[in-house]
Amino acid sequence: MAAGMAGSNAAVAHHSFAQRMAGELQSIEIHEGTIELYKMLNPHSALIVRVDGDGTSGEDTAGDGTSGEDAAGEDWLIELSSASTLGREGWTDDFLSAGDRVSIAILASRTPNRGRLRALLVHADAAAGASRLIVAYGIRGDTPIMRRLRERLPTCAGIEARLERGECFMVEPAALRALEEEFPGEMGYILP
Amino acid sequence: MRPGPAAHGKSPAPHRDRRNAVRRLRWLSVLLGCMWGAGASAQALDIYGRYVGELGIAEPAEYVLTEQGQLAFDNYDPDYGDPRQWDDCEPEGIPAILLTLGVATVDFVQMDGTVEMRYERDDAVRVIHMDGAEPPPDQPHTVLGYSRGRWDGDVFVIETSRLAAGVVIAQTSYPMSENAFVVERYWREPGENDLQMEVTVEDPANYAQPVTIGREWVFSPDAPKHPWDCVSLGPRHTDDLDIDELRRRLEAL
Repeated sequence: MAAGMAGSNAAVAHHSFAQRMAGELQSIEIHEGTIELYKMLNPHSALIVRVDGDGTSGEDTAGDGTSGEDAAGEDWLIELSSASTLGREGWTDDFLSAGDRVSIAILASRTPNRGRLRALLVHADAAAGASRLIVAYGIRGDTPIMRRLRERLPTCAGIEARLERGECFMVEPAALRALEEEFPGEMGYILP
Repeated sequence: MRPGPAAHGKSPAPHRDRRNAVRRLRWLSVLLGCMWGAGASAQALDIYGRYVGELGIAEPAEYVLTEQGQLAFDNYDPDYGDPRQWDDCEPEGIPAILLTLGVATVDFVQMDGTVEMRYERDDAVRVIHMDGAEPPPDQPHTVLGYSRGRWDGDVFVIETSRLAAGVVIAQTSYPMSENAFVVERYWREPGENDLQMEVTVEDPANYAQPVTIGREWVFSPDAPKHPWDCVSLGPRHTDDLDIDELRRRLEAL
């Protein structure tokens, strides 16, 4: 099962590293894409992200023009914490929006195109604006990743990370460039 | 014998400062109540109100499994065995719902002859029978079981049986049989309004020693408690996730 999963995702995975979790081989994958849907729900909030295609196949493999791996990309379902938990931390229904451009780190599940959120960089609308980096449960805690982020980045207003399910940082363009140089690779700054 | 996982780290209690004033007033009222009716009531404390479970739970240093328990532990994969891996809206049971970290708000409500514990998780309502009677002979085994409550001095004791088999803590492999007997004890430390909880699972088929886990419930009268309104995102072990159908379903909410 794990091998099949890894194979099915390999075509669109820009970066992955193996991680042993609950006795199963799972992987964190990094993608670029656009949020299509964001819903705060119990017990798991949901993101549907259209992950960018590589622009080379150009095939509508699903035959319906709406999904499948093709030049337009493919959809991913990403689970977040419960609406109850996120709401207490300050998340709202418009905290994320359809159309937001994102870089996203996903702990892939056995089901293809499904996973749990590990980190999300919501790109600023304007080149000079600040992006938001949301780090989710699984990376949170007193970890080297969190320490490096807390040392370098201010937190987002209105988000209180007291329940330790997510933490939000403001990332100015210069700070992002510095992180990318110091921790190379796609979203290398949230990887071990 | 299998070492238990490291205890989840306890975080500082939220809004501790704000609660202190409430706590002092509430403790004063409890103290006055005790002075007024000392010895006249079987209930020593007013435990009623809203509480939010702390993120940290205190697990035993080790779970002393029997041979049968060890076998069950070794053969259980929570990523497949947990019913919520197949349907997010499958309810959590006792004791797992007491120990879940993400959504842990509960109201203790005094009713006529019972105490109700109303959880945000699953909108679950536990009825704690205070009449001392044994469970009815035809009482089925359910995730919440049949609970009897009593006061042991200043400690509120709940004994629960007729439980459905499962695991002690969600997303772990520590087994629990349907014959398990779960005892919860709730009390306050002097000067505190928060509740200390100690839950003990007696399940000789799986454990050579009872399993005891602790948690603190923070008195939080102003904490929000939302309807659960569960929405399942579908099973996690399928090769044919239909995201377009899911999107239509979620957009219609």
